[in-house]
Amino acid sequence: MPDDDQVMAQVREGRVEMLAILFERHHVRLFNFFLRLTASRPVSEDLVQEVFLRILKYRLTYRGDSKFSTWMYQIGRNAHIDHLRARRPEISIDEVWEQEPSPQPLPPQKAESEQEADLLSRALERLPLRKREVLLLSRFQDLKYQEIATLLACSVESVKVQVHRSLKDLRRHYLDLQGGTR
Amino acid sequence: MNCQEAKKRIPDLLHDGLEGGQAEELRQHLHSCPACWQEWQELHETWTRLGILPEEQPSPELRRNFYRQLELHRLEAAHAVPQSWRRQLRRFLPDLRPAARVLRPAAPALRLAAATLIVIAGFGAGFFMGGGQKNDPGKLERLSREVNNLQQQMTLSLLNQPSASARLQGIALTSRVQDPAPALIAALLETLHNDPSVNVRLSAVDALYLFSDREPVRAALTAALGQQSSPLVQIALIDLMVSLKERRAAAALKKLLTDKKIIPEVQQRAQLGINKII
Repeated sequence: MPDDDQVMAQVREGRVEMLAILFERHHVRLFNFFLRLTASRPVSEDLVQEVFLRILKYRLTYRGDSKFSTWMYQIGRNAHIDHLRARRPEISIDEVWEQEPSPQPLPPQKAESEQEADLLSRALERLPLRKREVLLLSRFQDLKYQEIATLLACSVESVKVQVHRSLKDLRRHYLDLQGGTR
Repeated sequence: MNCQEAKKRIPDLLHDGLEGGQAEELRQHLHSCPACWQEWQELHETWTRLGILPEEQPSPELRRNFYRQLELHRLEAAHAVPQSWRRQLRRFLPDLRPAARVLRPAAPALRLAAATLIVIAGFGAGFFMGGGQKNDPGKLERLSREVNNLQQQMTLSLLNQPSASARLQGIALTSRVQDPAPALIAALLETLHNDPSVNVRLSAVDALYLFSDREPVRAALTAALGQQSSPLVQIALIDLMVSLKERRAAAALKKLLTDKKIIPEVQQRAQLGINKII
């Protein structure tokens, strides 16, 4: 079976129907990436749709010098940044990126198994977008630190430091929520 | 290794991994330093705990919208100027550029005339290109063969996806395939035999009906009668055998009548099928 880069090379050459293969391989994971960044299903679906439209639109710019998934997440990040800019044009994107989100009201009590996942999601939502993003990219998107560094245009060492700090903050928020000091 | 170096390496131990020597060095440090050991434990626990977050599924609307957009784009691309034409046009561009620079500040009337000329030239090019294709049946045949191949490749890829709805999408695509390759038939039969989803197996029965004029497909469908565990798929196969008037299926149907694992409703259907076939 052709790998992502081979399929994308065919899309670039004009066989746009081959994009269906890449959509089927990646859309659920991409959707979960956006869902954990935005905490909104409709926004996440719109962003996934936008990413695949941009892949079609910019297919000729795909050079194959980095992995397809790295390129796709680059497009995904840009789509997300555009979404944030459109939503809050008065604030600079760096500010939005670093902002500590305000705590959200508690959801109704759930079964124990769901509760743990729920607490973790809420702890994740308390991280500033920059920390949340680096954690999601490394933990769920199958990208190596080197690939994340390419994506974020920073050094590998910087990615590792961010992952380390994000995990520590996530743990702190999780324990806070678990201890009832929500 | 000191504590600062150890902390720098912990993310490697969590995700990318470390080379043999470095990993061993870090492990030794972690075992000898309680503070770093605790830090490692906490980070590792949090990293592992993230695994409990469930994978959410988007609504079916997302897939529908995507395929709609893709089809639109494909149609647009099919009507665009081919790449080879663009290349040929680009060869003339250096000669045209100085002329364009001269024309740019020209009066609106001249721009309108130029625009009209371009539109007429566009119609002309469209006319000649359309005519060219009509006069080249070989090219059309090649294109059609290529599209057919691509459809088969896409179907094969979709049939291998972990998501049941993607596999259903793949099966739906088979209805467009003109001349299925043996690999595609084999993948459909494999899906019929082993797919964990009953819905997907049922769709595979329907898809295989399209290719039931082939002897190996009829034989495989007959054999599948005794292998399916789902009553729904069993009934779909019995109905298929009846519609194909496949006499050789009578023996397999008779076996169903005596098999204690087969539910009475399926056995009744099998009996009716035998009556119609023989």
